[in-house]
Amino acid sequence: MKVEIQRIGMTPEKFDQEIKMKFITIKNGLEALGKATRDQMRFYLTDSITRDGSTGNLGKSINYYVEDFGEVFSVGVGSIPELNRQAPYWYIINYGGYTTISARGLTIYGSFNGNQPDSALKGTGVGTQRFREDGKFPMTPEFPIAAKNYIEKTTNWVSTVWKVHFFNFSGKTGVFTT
Amino acid sequence: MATYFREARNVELSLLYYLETNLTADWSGTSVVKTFKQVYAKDTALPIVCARLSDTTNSRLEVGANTLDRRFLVIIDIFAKSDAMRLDIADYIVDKLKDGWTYYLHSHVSGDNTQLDRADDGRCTVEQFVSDSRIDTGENFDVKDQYRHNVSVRIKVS
Repeated sequence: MKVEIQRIGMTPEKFDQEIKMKFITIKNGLEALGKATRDQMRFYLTDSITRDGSTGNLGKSINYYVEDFGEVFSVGVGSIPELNRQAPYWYIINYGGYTTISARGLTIYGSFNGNQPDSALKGTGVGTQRFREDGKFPMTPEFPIAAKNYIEKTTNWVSTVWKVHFFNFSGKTGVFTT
Repeated sequence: MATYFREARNVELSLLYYLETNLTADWSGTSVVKTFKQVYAKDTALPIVCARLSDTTNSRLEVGANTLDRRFLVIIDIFAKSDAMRLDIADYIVDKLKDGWTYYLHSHVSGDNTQLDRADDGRCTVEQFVSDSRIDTGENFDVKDQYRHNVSVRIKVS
């Protein structure tokens, strides 16, 4: 009797190579999604601006971050420590509410683009000039900041479109640069 | 002759009606409003639930058709009297939303916006709970901002 053993399929080494190649395409897809999510969050912020002269500081402070530990790969958008340093008002812009100054009834000294605040427009929300803390006029903010909810809007957007971005971009090689 | 409001407005009003009806029965004294301005008005007392439609996502239902498949992002802000109440109201609202509610077509007689008429026209269901988290505005002293929670949901109408 003769026994012949024949291998069918890939060798373990070949299988390992296949998995690594697939993982690269998954990484590309995730990174593309991270970049698109950052751009979408910036769009929601820009879209919600009501006053002229925005510096875009908050949008610029939102970036995407890649962490690649070989077998573990993750992409995140927005770093809380970085936002707390560069744009500490990020929280209240998203969720709305009173600032500490308005909650305590404090007075600050500033102007709207160099101009004195017009008491006739108080609380109407129609002012379009940017506030500057330039020491010109005493001002006592009384009204809360309206919630922009850019985080919730972006989260909703991601859950709706992730498949498009992930599968469309997962086949491309190379690393996206910001 | 009354004409019905559009779909997005009906979604928002149907949710507000559902929350108001349930909270009145189970949590008396809760104010249900739909704008931030109403939340912070002096005559609006805690606890307050503010629900508003934020975004609408439109995509085509099928290739070659003009029918839209719409999804609505609704943001619900809870302003409570204590941290325990915050957690309870948030859980209560999530529990109520998960079962879905009636979608009404709303209308009012021209010139009279004090009385809304409702006609049952389907069902709203939550497709996804986008967020359910505490809002910490720090150590400011506004009583309405002390115990806040945010629940965001994506809704579809069927």
